[in-house]
Amino acid sequence: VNTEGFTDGERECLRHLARTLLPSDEDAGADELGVAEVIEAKVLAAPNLLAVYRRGLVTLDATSRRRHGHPFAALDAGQQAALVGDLQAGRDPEDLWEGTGRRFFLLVRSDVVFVYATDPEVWAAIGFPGPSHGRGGYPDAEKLPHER
Amino acid sequence: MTADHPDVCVIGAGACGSVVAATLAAAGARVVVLEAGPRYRPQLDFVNDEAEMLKLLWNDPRTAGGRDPVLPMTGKGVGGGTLVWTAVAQRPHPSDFRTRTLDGVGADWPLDYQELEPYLARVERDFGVAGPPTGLHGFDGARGGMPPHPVSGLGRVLAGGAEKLGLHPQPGAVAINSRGSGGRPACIHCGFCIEGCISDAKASAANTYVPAAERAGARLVTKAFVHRLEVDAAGRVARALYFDAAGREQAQSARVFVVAAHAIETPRLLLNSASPRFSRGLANGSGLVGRNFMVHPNVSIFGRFPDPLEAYRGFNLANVVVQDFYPTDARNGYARGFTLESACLPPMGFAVAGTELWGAAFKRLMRQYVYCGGFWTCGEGLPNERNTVALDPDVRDGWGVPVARTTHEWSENDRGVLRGSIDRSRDILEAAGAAEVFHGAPRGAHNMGTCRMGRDPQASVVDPDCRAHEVPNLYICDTSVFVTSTGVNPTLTAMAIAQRAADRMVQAARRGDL
Repeated sequence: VNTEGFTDGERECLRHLARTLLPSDEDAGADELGVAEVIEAKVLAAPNLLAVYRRGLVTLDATSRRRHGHPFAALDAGQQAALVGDLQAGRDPEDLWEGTGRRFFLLVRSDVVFVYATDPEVWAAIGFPGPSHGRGGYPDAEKLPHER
Repeated sequence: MTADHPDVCVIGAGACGSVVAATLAAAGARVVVLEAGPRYRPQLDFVNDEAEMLKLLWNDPRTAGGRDPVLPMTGKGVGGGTLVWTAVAQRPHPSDFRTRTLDGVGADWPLDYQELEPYLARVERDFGVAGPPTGLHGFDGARGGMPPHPVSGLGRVLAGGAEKLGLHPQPGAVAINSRGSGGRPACIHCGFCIEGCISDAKASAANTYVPAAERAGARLVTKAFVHRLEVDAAGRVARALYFDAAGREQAQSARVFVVAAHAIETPRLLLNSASPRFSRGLANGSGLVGRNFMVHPNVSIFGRFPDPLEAYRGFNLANVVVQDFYPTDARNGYARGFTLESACLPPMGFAVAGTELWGAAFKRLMRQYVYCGGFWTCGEGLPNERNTVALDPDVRDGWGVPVARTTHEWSENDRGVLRGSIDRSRDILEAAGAAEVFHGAPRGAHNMGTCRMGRDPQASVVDPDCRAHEVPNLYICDTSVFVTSTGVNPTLTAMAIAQRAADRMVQAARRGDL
């Protein structure tokens, strides 16, 4: 067991979970944004958070093994999405989560989309112009786009 | 060991501690303020970036448990929570202080609205609140004297929906300059408030009461984390022990101690200050230190509209407030109610709080970001003794001090308020023309109630003047003293209570009772 951070198996599980939550398409997904690496760096600085993540990833792999005979990273995308959907809904047919599944989903989802939504290239893709203070803010904020 | 022996030691340079420090220093007291975080310089240290704002939060470990764990964010640094607040400064309503009598839920406060009203007005004036002077149904609005801000494009769309339903949307009360005031400029509506206000148009303790306190002679010590209060043989607080910027333990003595560390760190400090005389924690004979932990049932709910709204233009409260659902309505399956506040959110806040979507559906929604806008709801969460802030038996911070652990479960009433706030927001969004309505996971916002005030020492921690029943030279001035949570953002109310407590401290000192 790597006491410094995630085990290789946990890291692989996290990478696939992040990819399921934030797939790559015409703009960046978890792989391009290095989401799993960002999360690992964050939790290394917060021991109690690291423990929560490790417990969650281990339980996710256990659920996956019980259901499909393989760890989460070895499932196909549809199986992975179904498992994440169960977590979100608080469903736990294998009875392994002790009520923590939805909370783990919300934690990881929040950390994943945080990386996405604070990335300047993503801002460009979704039409957010970024910091405005240096440009004088929005003195015409009361106007809608079609009124300007 | 510091050699000086001031009259008053204030712990926490946030909204409430700074009001007390400024008031007491102006009255001639020698005041020292111990603040756990650093002092920031808005122009140099703040940026329009949601990731960068994290440094302004209380990032030391805390843990959360219970059926519905919550851990609302709090600030750290000179200014405290007001560094990262949205500056929403709606007044509480008179009914908030009598929920047991009026609605059979919660508890009555030992103060009523009339008692607090002059202090609300004083804080609005001194802190700088802009807003309409009259609120919904004739309730008091902001009396700070600054005119309300214009309503943003997003706000006008939402207000239009509310008006179609016969509701009464109003511009909000915010502690943000609508014109130059207090040596600070008018807001330029850049869209970033909770990331730290670069232009300084948003009022924080750091640009108002803290400098006022320092001008009056108060001494501010930053990066001073107080971890224990020690009592003398007479049962009075003698010294605050803290770790200084260099990591050395220091002791600060004073005649009077004011704990203003917010509703999580305040009970943590008192519980970590247990001693033979106060075996359950300082000032905790009632057992209520850390109990009745309250948060506001909160959800971010948005609509996707046919035309772009560009809802990131403005300030975080996009300046529409709906309080038609604030009081108890017998037709509801719950008591009390909620405030709806339009929300100007940069992408991160929207992505994290505004939806639970993930995968391809999440990315499709984010590409519609500029078409989306909606509400941030502030429901009244009822007090419950089983919701607590306690010491975590297993987790310690970097100093080796046990951290705070919150335990929280929504009551049936809280769930009803949440449902109601979602349903009524959906009605307004649909009336405003939203093609689709979606919301994020319910959350708890704001921390309150963990050192309740009251007249009975068996049923409360402090008296109506915020003075600890059991420890005559200890005051608690922050949202910990709230008896109920109200249905509005708590800072203005907490500051008014702190202002009143500070005045009462001055009076007590003058009659030799301190």
